[in-house]
Amino acid sequence: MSDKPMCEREYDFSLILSGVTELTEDKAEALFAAGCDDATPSVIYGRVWLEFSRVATSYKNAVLSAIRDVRRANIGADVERIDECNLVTLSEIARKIGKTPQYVHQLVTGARGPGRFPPPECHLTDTVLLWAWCTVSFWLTESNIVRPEVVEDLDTAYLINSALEELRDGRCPQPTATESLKKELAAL
Amino acid sequence: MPPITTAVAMLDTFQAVSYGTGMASRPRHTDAHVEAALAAAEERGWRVEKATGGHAHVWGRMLCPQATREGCIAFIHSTPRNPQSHARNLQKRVDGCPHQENCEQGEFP
Repeated sequence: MSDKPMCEREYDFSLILSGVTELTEDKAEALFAAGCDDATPSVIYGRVWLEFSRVATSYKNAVLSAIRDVRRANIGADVERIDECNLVTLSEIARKIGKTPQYVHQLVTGARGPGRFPPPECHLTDTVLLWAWCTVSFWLTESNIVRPEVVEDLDTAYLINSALEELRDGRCPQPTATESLKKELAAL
Repeated sequence: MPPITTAVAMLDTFQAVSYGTGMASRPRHTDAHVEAALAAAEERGWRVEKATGGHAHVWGRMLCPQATREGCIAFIHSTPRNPQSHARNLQKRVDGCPHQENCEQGEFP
């Protein structure tokens, strides 16, 4: 009989690191030794990814313990974000809720569902629009289109990413320019 | 001693033999799932290198067909916590490699 609680399961998620642009064998070794032996480290265009498959009691516990392990490795890296972008295409929304893009398009136009689907945020390309996942997710559950547990982990990812971003604010690359723009905007 | 140019040519030939045939004489990973993922990556033009540093956890790394600094690299664990998951995640990196020749133009943002 396993001594693990029955409620544990494996969560797949990917963490994006900052502070390192390449991985040496020594750095990978330090990550594995610090507890990231359930992660697959990789580098693409100077960005380091850790693809985790972690057993935990919840998605939140899986991600937070992984962030702790990355910090413990002490390789000058920290977690920038979970690889879940809040801006999503219509196809990505469909994939996240296990429906077809056609189905989601009908929700957007109001041909299906209660109508008033959240408006898009911006363009990705001339013909592809992006929606904010946090807004769409709220609408989907409020409208009883999907059950809350379907989007629960993705919503948690959004919250953790927002928290990481807020903690990062102190190291904005152009703090003076941002501050002066804020003043200009407020004065309009 | 052969001239340096000949020596370099010989070295190139050696590398072509050891990597170019796809059946390189690299050591096999002891886990069948991980080894299968490495072999699948090699079939798609990735190069698998055994680590040289005598590390306890790092088995080696695999490099995508873009053999420059901009290419993808993934690290291979010698005794991953869950070998099947590690194999799956290595495979995911091969599938998601942006340098693949058959990468559709539409895939680029």
